[in-house]
Amino acid sequence: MIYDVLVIGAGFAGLSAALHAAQSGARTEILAKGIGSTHWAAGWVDVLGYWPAGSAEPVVSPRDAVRQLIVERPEHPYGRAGIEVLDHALSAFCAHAAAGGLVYDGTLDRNVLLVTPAGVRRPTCLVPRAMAAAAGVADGKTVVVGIAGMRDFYPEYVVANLQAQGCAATPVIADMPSVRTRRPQTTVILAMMLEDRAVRDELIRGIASAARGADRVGFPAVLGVGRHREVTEDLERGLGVPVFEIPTLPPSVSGYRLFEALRRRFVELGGRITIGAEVVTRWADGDRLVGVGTEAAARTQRHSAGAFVVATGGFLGGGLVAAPDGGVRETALGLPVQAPPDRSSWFDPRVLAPQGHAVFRAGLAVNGEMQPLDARGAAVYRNVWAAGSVLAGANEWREKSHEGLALATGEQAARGVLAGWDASQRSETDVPR
Amino acid sequence: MRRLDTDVLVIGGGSTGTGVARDAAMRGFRTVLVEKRDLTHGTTGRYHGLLHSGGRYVVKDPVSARECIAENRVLRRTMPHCIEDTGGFFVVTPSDDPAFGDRFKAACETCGVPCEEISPAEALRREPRLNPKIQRVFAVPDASADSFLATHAVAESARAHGAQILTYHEVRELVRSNGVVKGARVHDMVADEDVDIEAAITVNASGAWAGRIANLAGCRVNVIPGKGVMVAINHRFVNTVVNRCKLPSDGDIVVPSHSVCVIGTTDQGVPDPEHYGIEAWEVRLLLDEGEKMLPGFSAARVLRAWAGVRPLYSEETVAKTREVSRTYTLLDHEARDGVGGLVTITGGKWTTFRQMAEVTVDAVCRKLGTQRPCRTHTEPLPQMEGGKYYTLGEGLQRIESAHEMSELVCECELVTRDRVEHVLEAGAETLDDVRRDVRLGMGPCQGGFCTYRTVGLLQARLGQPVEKANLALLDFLQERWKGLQAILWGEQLQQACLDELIYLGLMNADHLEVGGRKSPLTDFFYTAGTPAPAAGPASPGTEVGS
Repeated sequence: MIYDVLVIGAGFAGLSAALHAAQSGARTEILAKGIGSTHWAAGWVDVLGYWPAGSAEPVVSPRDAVRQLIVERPEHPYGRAGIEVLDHALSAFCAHAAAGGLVYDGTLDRNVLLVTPAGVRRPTCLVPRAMAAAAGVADGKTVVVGIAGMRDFYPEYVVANLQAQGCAATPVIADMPSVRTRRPQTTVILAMMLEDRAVRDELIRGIASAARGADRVGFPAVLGVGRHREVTEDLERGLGVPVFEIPTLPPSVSGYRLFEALRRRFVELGGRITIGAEVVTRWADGDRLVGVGTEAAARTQRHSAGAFVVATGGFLGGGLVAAPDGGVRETALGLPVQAPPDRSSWFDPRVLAPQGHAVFRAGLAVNGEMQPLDARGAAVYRNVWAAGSVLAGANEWREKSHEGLALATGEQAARGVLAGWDASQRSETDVPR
Repeated sequence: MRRLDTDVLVIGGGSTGTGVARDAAMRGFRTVLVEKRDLTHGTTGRYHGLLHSGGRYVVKDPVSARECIAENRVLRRTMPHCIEDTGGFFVVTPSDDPAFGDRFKAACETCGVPCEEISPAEALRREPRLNPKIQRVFAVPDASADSFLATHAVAESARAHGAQILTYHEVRELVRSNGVVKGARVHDMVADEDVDIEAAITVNASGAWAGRIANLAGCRVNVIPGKGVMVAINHRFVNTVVNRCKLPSDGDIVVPSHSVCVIGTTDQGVPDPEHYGIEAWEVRLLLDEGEKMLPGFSAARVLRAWAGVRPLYSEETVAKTREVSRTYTLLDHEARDGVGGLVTITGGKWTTFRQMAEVTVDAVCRKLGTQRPCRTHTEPLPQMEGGKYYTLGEGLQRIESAHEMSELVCECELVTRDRVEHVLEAGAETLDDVRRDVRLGMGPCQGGFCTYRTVGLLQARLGQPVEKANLALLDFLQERWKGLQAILWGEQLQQACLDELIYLGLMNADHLEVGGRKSPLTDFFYTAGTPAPAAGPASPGTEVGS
């Protein structure tokens, strides 16, 4: 069948665009090369943590800071999407995540400081319920739990940095026989093990005395996958204090859960999602894109749609690829890329330079409707929109803006799609091949 | 101020310096070695890892070739656990003069370097990724060596014979009395205090820095730092050392090393052995040259580029560093400059370090009026871990049979928690020291995952002020970054993005508290290299001023 909207990419931006389109009644399909950036994600939703990027002090009100950013940097993706769309996209995200079983709290008016796996307090905007208690670490006593044999989380390091920031915290290591025997290699396996009540009881027994008298207990983010709520509630009951999660090195269980929640929600809304479908070719008719091709077993499979959203990610997601000679290519549709003119200006000699590395701001230039533009500033296709990290102009890991940008530009792209779409355009017939 | 009194003071903790310290200690001299950073921090830790057969020098530099083959045989006997016997090929590609092969073969015979011509078909059978258009192939006993492991083994043996090895001790002045060097005042960079070392004889084995050290005694030694750029790709493209059969030039050697392959090198005189840049064109040149021997090489994933500075010695000013002999030189400053108590050993190559140490300690014996025979050519080094450390499969098998996959701190290089903890507790000062000891962070992710894990272990095991752990984390990210900028494109740029996500996005490492601390041990990570002269790929050999 012909979909109304075909979204390429299953990260935050693709899911945001697809959920908005599907909820508005458009028949929507997601095609993605693989799982999106969600499985690397901490699970929190950043909007703007530091502005200007690299500032020492965190942003207090993302709403005010984003307003200021839009004035100073209109070409920034937030400048394209606008604050109203951002605000709406965050509410929509919370509703979708809740429908998928994950509760998020927070507003655009206030950042919350959570705890990173290095123990640094870090601003973010929307907080998963499982991390909420981390916001209180400045008051009272916090116990941070590590699990013996787990190589991706170090409570002593978290605690030492919390103490350096004036927080009362102590580490404890849970030595669990089942972990010692089964030696889980990843956080995901450990999280699945903890869905077993007997394993959970080992954990509770191992730390109960250390947790006594604490105001909250922090764990690495391995508190279950599908049965996350049950695991968390059990630990809170067993220890008698609020518990919270601290995200870990990827793969991230908290990101995994979030992807599953949003995917479920999208399918409930009638959407279709295909992972493992890399877009490798396209068909256009003048300034209209009519179809894209994915690599299938024996041939290229054609997918047709009325509108397309490119949400393939930046260099990390594979939406952009850099060549040794300094050229940067957009991989799905071959759209023109805005990038620093030559390699010599790509990098700062200091890895953590506050202003970041110029090459990481490369991407697609878009208009206010999120349509990719050519060198003359005209839309390349009238039915193609773009969202997320594939866009030019952001410094997302220094600004701490990754998820907010993706959600806002994803929704804005979907709005662009829907503005030109009405139900009469639906076609019930299959495409002739 | 601390004081030490010794017979022999060795300056420099590279292969030569540690070799001298071991040899001297084995001959019964009280020995102290000082190194301003960590062992192998200089050129020893920045070379491609080739144990020369001598083949590379038979035509142009036969003295060096003879030294190489002699030492090749000795090292295979005395430190087999540091050497992987890959064998080596010299290949005549369509870009090379086929007649050179005959000169090469004849010169191998003259110099005593075993050399067997094999058919291109046989060579392709052994190394299927060789250019199928190669015309002639000569097999020689080249091998791949681990200079980090070897230097540590030599230092360990030196300690066992009573030598003191002082890392992070920088020479501030050579102490002279009546025109004789009586030792040195050195600065302990960790404790931030001076140490006076009185020595009957001082050996300057500081490699590319030898001119600077000699200058402290008022002696002029013309050491030309010859920068050589190397590039590592992410897998073993070949299992044999592959050389171009022609006069030595840029990008004509590929060495398989542990889990990667290294292509080298360029050769460019630089004014300063501490600060030099690596340019994109140098990397491009190496990859393009590699392509001539191994089609597809330039499309491989490049992990890192680095450079070492050869300690090229010449009495005169030279125009091209390629023209300087690779043989070594021992200078007795008493005979040469009228300055007693000081000898300089410089030039040479990793392959000949033991022989350099031997002739140096022979000179020490003469100067101290004693005769004590050298034993380093017969006495094997202590086996650090037993067995053939070098084979990749062995490490993997050990980890698999012990079910230690979950214990890997660095998956790229199969480094387990035990090994990292051992090195941390043995007193590694920086994560870069850990890297040199166990290859931490040297694989495809270039520290993306292991940096955090190692700092976590550091804090858990040693419990130092957290600012120190934070600084270790930031320093190591910066150290890795230095070798990445010239090679970031494609998948490796993607990997660098993942590091941004992890350290900036997830950790908020750009807001880690370091309490205003900067470590004098690692400040050089932050100094940008002086860009290479705008020579461009057309003229890779540059003029070196007087």
